Amino acid sequence: MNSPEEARAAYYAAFRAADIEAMMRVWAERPDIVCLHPGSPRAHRGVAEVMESWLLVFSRELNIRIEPRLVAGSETDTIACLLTEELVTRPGDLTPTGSIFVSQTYRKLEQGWRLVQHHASHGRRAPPNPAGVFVAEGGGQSTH
Amino acid sequence: MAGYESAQAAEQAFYEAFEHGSLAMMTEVWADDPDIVCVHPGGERLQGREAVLESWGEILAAMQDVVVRATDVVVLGHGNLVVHHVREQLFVDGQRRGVVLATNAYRLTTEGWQMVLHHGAPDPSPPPALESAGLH
Repeated sequence: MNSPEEARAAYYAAFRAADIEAMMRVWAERPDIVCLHPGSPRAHRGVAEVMESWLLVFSRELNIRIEPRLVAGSETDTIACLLTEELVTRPGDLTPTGSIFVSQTYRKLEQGWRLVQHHASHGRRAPPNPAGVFVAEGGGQSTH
Repeated sequence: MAGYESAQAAEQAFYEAFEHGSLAMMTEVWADDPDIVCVHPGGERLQGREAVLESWGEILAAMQDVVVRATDVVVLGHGNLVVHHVREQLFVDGQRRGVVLATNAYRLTTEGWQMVLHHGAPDPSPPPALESAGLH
């Protein structure tokens, strides 16, 4: 993977295919990698824990449709921190009704660009607006 | 605007601003960059200085006797960009009120180290607070 964009594309390919081998090829083989899934009480650290967490994710049927959009990022020649907004369409819905935010860090290592950090969390969940389209942009309120 | 000597110093300032309910301090922490982005737990994406600082203005105005401890910090960085994964423990009036799992990213700008991303997610199952914490 020759760029953060390529590595990110490989991540989504592995995610959609629920392919654990491909997923772990996206990740760096390092003890300090960290992965946090939506709703998880803690982050998983290191190759073994991260792999175990993805096996669990892939063991469940993915019954939601996601449309990832890269919305923000900060990059240097050797590291990139990217924020992706995934629009989520749930079973029975025709259009997205919610979002998941994913911040990821990729590092340029000897083997190329690899994922070293992944943090996904649920964003606002809203009923479809009158036009039938969930608008991700907009003044949602939340407290810290 | 003053940046910080390290990502760690910027992070310390971030949590100090939080504890002091100080928007002025929070304004110093964030980079002056239209690409800065902030996601509060369960909230929308806020992008750009105006939206980010407006949200903090509302949050910080409500801060009183809040203590935040960032624990379990994982530092991932290289050169001019550093990412921290942290567990924020919030205490109000000496009582543990919750945990936020957060990703914070810092960049070395011409001003020094400053925050460019904050992504917070609520912990759905925080361990129970100690019975004795804050009780008489």
